[in-house]
Amino acid sequence: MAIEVAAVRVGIGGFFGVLGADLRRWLGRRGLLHLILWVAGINGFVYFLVVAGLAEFGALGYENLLNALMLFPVFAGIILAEATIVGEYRSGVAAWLISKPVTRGGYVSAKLMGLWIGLSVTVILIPGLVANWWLPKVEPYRFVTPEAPEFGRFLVALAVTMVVLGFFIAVTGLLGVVIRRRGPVALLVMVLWLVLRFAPSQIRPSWYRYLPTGLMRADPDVNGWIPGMEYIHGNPFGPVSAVWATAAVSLAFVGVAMLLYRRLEL
Amino acid sequence: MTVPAIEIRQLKKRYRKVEALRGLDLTVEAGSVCGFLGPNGAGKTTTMKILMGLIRPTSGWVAVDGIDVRESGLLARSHIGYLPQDPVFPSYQTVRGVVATAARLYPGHLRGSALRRRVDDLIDRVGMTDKAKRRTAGLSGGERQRLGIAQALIGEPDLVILDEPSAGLDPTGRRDMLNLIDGLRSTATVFYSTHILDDVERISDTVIMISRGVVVAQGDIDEILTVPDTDYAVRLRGDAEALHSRLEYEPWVKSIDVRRHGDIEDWIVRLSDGSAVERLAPALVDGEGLDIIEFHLSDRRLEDAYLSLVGVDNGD
Repeated sequence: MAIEVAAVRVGIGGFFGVLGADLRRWLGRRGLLHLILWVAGINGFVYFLVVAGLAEFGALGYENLLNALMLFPVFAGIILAEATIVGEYRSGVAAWLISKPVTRGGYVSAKLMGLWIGLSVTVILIPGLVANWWLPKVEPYRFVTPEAPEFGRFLVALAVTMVVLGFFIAVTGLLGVVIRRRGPVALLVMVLWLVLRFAPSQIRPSWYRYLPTGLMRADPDVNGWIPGMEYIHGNPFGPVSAVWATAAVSLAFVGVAMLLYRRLEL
Repeated sequence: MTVPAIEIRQLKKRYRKVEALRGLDLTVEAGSVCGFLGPNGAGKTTTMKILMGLIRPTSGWVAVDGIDVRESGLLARSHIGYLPQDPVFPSYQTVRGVVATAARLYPGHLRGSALRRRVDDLIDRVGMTDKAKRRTAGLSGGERQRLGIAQALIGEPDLVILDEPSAGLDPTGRRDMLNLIDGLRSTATVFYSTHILDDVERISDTVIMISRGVVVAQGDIDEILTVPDTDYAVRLRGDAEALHSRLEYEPWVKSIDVRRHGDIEDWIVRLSDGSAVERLAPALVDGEGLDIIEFHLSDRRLEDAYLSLVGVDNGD
């Protein structure tokens, strides 16, 4: 029993050690450079659509922002997750970390969690907050809604995009453990993103409420804005079940990835 | 009774059709520096990876400091510092970052300024202070090896497992590495693999030789290097063919191993028993037209022991 307790303590320490090392990647000069690039990239993209682009699209500044945050961070997450899980497995970095007092499950979960937290802050939260500062000041936006949205509702919309990001990181992590080849893993997850985002005709509408699709697309019965946008504009948030289901499925994927990683030879 | 640092019993590992380990038994005593020798493909790296929990054995029992590696691998690894054969570290991290990351993975690690001091001290010990801020992506093989040693020692391990620590190092680096390993003697058990037999002779207390997945010899290096009093080295100049033919048929001569270098021949004469030297010496003196340059009990180098135990045709 004492040995088991000691092992749990050591394992928790190893998990936080790996997580801390990954989170430190997002700090310092390198992290600041990433942050600047992402803030400029996402805000520049939205600015182009809202102000410099077509005025009628510009009127939907927040929807463009939320769509951008469902696209760029997710693709960055897919690329970085496969680079982490598959790349570190192939290069030997994973073996190096696991030769320390770190469990294999702790390694996988810390890597995926560190990536999710890092991207959520650097690529979703901060670029989103910057956009929230300038979007209400832009004329085409005021043409439709003269007031800035309630800040709390905006944060909830950002949190929903983080849940979607977490789902794709988890899927990539799981496929990375199973396939262990970078290209096919990234390709498969990007195809999954395309299917969930653009080809929902293959998916029953009643399933939307249990899939990330319900968070990424407007409800076909309502045919309005995407759910986050609806919420920003004061409407109720419809697909609550999709949030919980997506989060639960993501955690399950991470759990399976942790279990399967125990079987790998490093 | 002291618990051995490493204890392995009937360890087997099969990779599909290849049997890498075929019932390995070995013991490394705590506090020793143990050289792990064997040709390529003998199973050295496989054994070390099993000790580190990186690969799973097919069967057998492995313990580190008395802790069963298969049952409590995590606890076992908290006692071990490991240098892999080809060390790879996150390319985005600096030398200092890698050592600090490794430190934070051990239970009860130092924090703040104490951690920074310890990290800087180890980086200094491996001679990388001037490269502490460099990213690992730009390091040479030898520099990665030095960094590998620093990160292996950061957790103040009881057991240090080094897979070919001198590989890729220049002569200065190799000398520094040997001094470093020698300096660990008082604080940790060192179990290291190498192909450089001179290194093993210089710093090891014990040697384990492995061939085709089984141990062929293990023990104190002095025991392995002890020669029987029946082997004599003779260096002579001139036409020795007649003398060789005559000695070869003497009942008290078991064998004569000859190596020629120009007009000089080196013989290792194995006698049936030690007292036969009283017959060998006069026979050599009587050899017509021969200069006897050297005549003494044979020195046995580790290389001789290695080649006789492992064989020369055992490479992969």
